[in-house]
Amino acid sequence: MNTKITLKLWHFQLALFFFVLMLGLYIFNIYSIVKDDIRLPSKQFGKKDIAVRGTIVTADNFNIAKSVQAYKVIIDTRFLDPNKQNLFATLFSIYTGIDVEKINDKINKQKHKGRLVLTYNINTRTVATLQQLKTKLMSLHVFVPLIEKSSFIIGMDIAISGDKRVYPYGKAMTPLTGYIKKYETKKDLTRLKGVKGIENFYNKALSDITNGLREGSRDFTGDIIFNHESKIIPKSNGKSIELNIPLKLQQHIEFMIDKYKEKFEAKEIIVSVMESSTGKVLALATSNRYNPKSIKQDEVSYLNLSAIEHQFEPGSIIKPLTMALVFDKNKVKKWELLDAFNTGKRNTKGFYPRGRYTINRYTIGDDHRFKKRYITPTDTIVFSSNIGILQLAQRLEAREFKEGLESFGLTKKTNIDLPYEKKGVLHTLRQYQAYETQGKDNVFKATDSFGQGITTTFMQVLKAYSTFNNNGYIVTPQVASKIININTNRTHLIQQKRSIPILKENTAQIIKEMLIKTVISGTGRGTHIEGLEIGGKTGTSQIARKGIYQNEYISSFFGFANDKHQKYTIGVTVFEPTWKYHYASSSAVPIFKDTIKILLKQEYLKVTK
Amino acid sequence: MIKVKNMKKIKNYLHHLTDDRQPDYLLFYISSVLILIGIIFSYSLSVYTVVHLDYNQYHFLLRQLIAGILSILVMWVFAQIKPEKLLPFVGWLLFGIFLILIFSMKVLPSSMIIESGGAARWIRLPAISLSPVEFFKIGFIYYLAHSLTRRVYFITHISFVRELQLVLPYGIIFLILAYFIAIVQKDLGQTVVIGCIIFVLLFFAKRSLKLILFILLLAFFGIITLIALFPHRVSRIQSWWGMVQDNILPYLPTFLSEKLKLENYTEAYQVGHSINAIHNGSFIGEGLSNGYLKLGFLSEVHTDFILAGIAEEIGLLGIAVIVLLFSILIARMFRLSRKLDTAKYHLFTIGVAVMLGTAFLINSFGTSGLIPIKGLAVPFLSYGGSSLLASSIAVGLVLSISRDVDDLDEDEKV
Repeated sequence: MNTKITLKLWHFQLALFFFVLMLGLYIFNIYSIVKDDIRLPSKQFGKKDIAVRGTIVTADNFNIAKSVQAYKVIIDTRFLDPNKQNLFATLFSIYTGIDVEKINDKINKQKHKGRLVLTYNINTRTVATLQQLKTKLMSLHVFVPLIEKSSFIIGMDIAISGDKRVYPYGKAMTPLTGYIKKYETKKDLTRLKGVKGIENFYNKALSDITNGLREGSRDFTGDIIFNHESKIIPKSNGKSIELNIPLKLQQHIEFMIDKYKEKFEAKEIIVSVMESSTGKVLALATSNRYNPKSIKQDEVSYLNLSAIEHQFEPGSIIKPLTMALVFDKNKVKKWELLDAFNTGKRNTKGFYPRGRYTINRYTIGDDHRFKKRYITPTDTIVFSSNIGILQLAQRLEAREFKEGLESFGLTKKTNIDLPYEKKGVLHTLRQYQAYETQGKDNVFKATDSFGQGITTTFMQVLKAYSTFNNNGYIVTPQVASKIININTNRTHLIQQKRSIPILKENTAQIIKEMLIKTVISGTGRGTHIEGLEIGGKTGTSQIARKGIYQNEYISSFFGFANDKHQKYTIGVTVFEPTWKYHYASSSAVPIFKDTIKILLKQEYLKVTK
Repeated sequence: MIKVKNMKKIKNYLHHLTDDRQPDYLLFYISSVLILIGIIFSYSLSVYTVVHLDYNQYHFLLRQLIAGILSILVMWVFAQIKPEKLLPFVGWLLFGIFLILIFSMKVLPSSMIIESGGAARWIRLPAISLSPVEFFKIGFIYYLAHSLTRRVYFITHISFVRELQLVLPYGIIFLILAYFIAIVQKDLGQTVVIGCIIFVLLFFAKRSLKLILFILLLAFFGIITLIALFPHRVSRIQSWWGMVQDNILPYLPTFLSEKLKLENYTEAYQVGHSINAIHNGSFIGEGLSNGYLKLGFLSEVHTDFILAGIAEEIGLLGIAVIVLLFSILIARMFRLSRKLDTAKYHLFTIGVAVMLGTAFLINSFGTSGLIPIKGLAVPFLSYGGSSLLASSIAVGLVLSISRDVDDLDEDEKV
């Protein structure tokens, strides 16, 4: 049917014109869209990889304090298909271990549908499996778009909720470890800060963190596209602190003193074990511990580490210090006889009355009844004679006495690696100098020589005692041994401070022998264990409030326990035991012995046969 | 011997199919370039879908590449064949088969139908699935060209009523098709394309201006009736209006603009991101593969929203090039149809041009927020074998027809 046709040009022209006009309209529209002020969804996207605080590790490799990343899981309930809520709750429960009812409850109780945080406490391991759940939920169509046909869905989201500090062993090692508090940085980040103890002292290393960052353009779901423009900063966690203290030893001592605290009805008991030659603290235990996760109201005082923060009148445990000073200045001979000032009739058992000595208007007495009128310096220590030691102390010049005690570390910080250390108080040089030129007795020298009227901390005494067991060298106690950068696996050893000679070796030896004798036949009787070298000195002081001595006591026993290879300085202080146990020989001494038993059991010491 | 004999037979037959005349290769090249662009973007724009669905990264590229090569091959082969041998055969075949398929979409087993968003537009076959409307359109254009030539084309200078009687059957056919395509398949875009084809072909079939204006008026009231009958369309129009009102209201008189102002509308999500993508692309684009709104924000970016995806990556400049290519393609077909002596070929060529042109316009207007219609493939560019192959078959047939014109590039008075 090839009939000739005639065409009208304007038909084509009109059609083409219309078409081109439309295309022009389209191009113009595109142009105006380009020119329009349109806010685009943000292209750049950064995901922070939150670094966590460092770990505190014990010498036997237990993480006593550590940080874990806690995650939260968020859903938008508007997108949750109501018919599949149960399915979701069941699956979520299987993946996280949270009760199905709990999840359903949370969803049902939400007042207005929208963002809902299901849990804040998801650990890293669960996160990985939850990511799988996330895709499964999508394929099961648990989350559906709000508008039909739309492909916009907000599903389950897992986000970092922060740094969660965990103390896996609860009360163990507190308050030594310290605790943390949260604070907001200027960049609106929640950070942790150590408040006390090791957490505080090593806060700089522990909190030396760099948050990781992954930044780049993102896709619709917020995943970052890694290309040449994206930025990746690896995160760097805080450094770990390794301690000299093994948890096992510390905890055994803690359990032991817990029992004694109950028995003595004491306010607090402190025990510390230190390596005499190095100052490495192997245990620093107190009966007053708290759980860093839940600090109770009545435990607030427990937050303080009494061993360094509580200064108290030490009592007779100071006598060996005074004795050492006198010997070191060669102002006494080993077998010299001192008047015990115990004149009077012997009793039926042959004991003279308790000695009494008067300085000015003060009278100082002894507790022990001697069978003799004159005593040796050794007797002075072994039977804790105030009269013996005060006479010897008078032989020291005021300056010698004060500087001598200071050389033991009194009125100075021990420089242990713990914060908020107290210094204690001695009398002033002027006070010691009173009557010096007249050659009369000085009452301050007298009382201070047996530890009355002065204050020290527990740790100061422990440090001072290390000299007797270390040939006259004084050490600096130290709790931590290493700083470990877990990101680079580099370990930085914390240098133990050099020990300083403050006594002649011979003097140290003499005092040491006196302390050993105290344990064998003196106030420290009962502590002796065959096959070990054990020495120590008791001390009982009365607590004074507003200048008046109360019926409250502080009983201490400081000394050492050695075997062939190891030398340990050990200190025990019992605060306010009940009257029955107020003498150190009945409170601090048994604890001292039990501490040695633990050291034996855990093979820190070995009996030589 | 038998073999040789057969060979001769085949040679004879092939010779019988073709002649010495040349097709218009410019059409072929432009179409091929568009197909190539489509293949490139099927790789670049499908990246999010590929990752999201855990497909091989070449999943879409490979399929589009195969469909593209096949399509170019079809065009080339068709271009070699004489139109009188090819057109009736292909035209009736496509018309017959796909008309039946469209009518039977409702009764086919549901395992054979791919539904998406409540619309059943694809038939699942082994290995491939195809959209029957895409192919049917070609058959329908052929049918129209054939029927109009026989019944309408040469009848002029008649009364309006007589003319109305003449074209009424096409109106009825349109309504039947509209029922099956717009309502059963919920494919408004394709219905509009078919309507435009009928309208423009009637125009070129020498209908009076009076009739043409009457049809336009009818279409206008038809659309209003449709909106009234199907409220879910209203919400779509509302959401479209909510988006574009700020650009239009200022130009309207106050009393009208206050009445038309829509508060608290929810922005059409897809079109919103489509506009974002175009804006982000700016004049020269973010660079090939560098778009980010294609990454899940803009859904169906490699199919229905490909123009927005292309705009984001190669910008207004790239879109202008594509528009230019389409303009040349359409103008070339118009020029061809102008030089044809055969009414049927003339109308068929125009029909194909209208088919490709309206599809492009509807999609480009829809994705840039000018009209509230979407869900239509861009010829040659959109990912999808059915649309690509159908467009190529159409252009192949036009190429075959172009053999009838020797001097296409020469200007000639009509």
